[in-house]
Amino acid sequence: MHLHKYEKIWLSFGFAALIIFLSVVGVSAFHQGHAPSGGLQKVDPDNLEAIPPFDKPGVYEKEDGSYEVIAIAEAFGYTPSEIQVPTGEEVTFKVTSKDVTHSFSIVDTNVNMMVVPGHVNEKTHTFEESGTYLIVCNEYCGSGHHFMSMEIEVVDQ
Amino acid sequence: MTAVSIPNPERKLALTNVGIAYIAFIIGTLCGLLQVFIRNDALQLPAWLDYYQILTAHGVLLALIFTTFFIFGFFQSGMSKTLGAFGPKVVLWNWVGLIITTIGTVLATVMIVIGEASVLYTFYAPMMANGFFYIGLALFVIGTWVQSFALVGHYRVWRKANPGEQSPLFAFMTVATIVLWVIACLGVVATVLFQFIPWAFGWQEGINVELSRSLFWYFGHPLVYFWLLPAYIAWYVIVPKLIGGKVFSDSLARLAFILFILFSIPVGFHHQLTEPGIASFWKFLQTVLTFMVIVPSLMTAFSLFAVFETRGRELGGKGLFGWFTKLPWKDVRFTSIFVAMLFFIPGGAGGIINASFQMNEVIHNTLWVVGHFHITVGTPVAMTFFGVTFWLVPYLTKRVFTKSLQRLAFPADHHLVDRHASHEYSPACAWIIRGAPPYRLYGLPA
Repeated sequence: MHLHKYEKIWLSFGFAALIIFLSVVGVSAFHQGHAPSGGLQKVDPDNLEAIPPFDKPGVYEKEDGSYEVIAIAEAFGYTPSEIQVPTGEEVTFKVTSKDVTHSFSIVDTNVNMMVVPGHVNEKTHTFEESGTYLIVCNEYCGSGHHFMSMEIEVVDQ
Repeated sequence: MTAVSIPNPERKLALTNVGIAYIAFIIGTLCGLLQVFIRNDALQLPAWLDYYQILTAHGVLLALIFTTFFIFGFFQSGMSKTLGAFGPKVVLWNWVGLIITTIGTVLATVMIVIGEASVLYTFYAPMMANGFFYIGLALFVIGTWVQSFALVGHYRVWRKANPGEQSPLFAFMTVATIVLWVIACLGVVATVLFQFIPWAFGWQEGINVELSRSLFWYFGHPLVYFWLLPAYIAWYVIVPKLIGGKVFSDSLARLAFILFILFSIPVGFHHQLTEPGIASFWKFLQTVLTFMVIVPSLMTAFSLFAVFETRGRELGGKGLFGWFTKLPWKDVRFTSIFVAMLFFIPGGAGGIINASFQMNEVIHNTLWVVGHFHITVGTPVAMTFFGVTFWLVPYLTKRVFTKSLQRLAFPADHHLVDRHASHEYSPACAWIIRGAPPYRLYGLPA
């Protein structure tokens, strides 16, 4: 198959760009740990009241000074409906759903998690600025979807 | 334009497909317009009609029904034109397929209209629609398969009659697109047949949500290539003819289509980057595989602009960009397709952002994504189909595409671009500038 000289140059440029892009993404992911939210833990969505940690949703301070937020999404709201965390500390969100698929997305941050029933999704985030952040569901979950939100208060320690 | 046309049975088939496509287009577009009014608070829906019903209808009618029916009408015309008249069996099976597809469409549409299937066109479990909605979807896919196999059958007849001869480019690309479609549909057929239908009719308790999502996206991403490749066929085969040039490289065009089939298969996870249940490694692997599609896309871009430049220079274009002004800008069949191609540049670039693993968290489920699919399927694909319609329908109906119709077509096209580009994409662009994501994909906070 004949390749025109200009096309060779064009495609080499394309391949080079591809390799650079993917290297940047790969190094960021596996060397610097910037992976999107995820998690392989499974949970029975019909029995959350009896399964720790989802039997007691809320904010917990851990021994190393970091925080853990346990939250449950269900049509059309979250439990707990309001939480408070400090600035400058690592906060790990562990979220699952009681019914359909939702999301747990904190506006103005990179916390943007799909919440799938039967699975626990995890994301760690450190808030640098204090203030009130809005958490919304951005995955269509039924007729009241656009009312589904909660707030998170981030305070200076 | 031309009095010569393809034989009557194929004309009827193709015109029926194109006709249904445009009925779906009109209803789907009206739904889109209603959404704009509702979100601007210019209109209040009656109690019996729900915003999400209209949204579901908009998505299903435009993204699935309009595209698929149009594509098959286009394929039937082109296969008859390039490989010769259909035999009676090919005609029969195309009709059988078309009727099954239509029954499926009507069934699914009725379920949406009566409010039994407000599940959007992704129909994510465990949100449940009426079981007949899923049966409608299954019939739709089966019908397209029957039409697909009938067209491949026609190709085989031609191949037997012409051993050793190179197939016409149009026929090759049609068969490649059909191969891609059949492979892609395996995922959605599996989830609808073995998961959704038994679950919706209560024969089986519960549904494996994450599996159904993965099977859906195994189909959902190649689906966008299924919309795109017929547009590519028009770009590779028809545009050179319209402007009086010729395909830059026949073999590279064929290679691009084969690459599309290969790179369309294991890529669906890039729609599931922010969800649990899939290990990071597999998400990253599919990110890499997704990016491979850049190769045939760049080949296509090169080839198309090479055709434009070569033809522009033949027509006397001088200097570095003189050829550009020589292109037939007053011919709406060319211009609408050219504008479509231009939109595919930011469309593709946005797609690279979307698929970039951790970057996906920044845009996932925001209006940015709505913008993305409106400047990929909404503009390049739909506008190419419009450009194709401007010559295909006159060709099939043996009528003339008059000057006054041309004049009418220009504003119609521009309206389409305006609506999609400024209304849908600008919030997303504004977001880049402002740095604040326009959250709430489906409806604004009250």
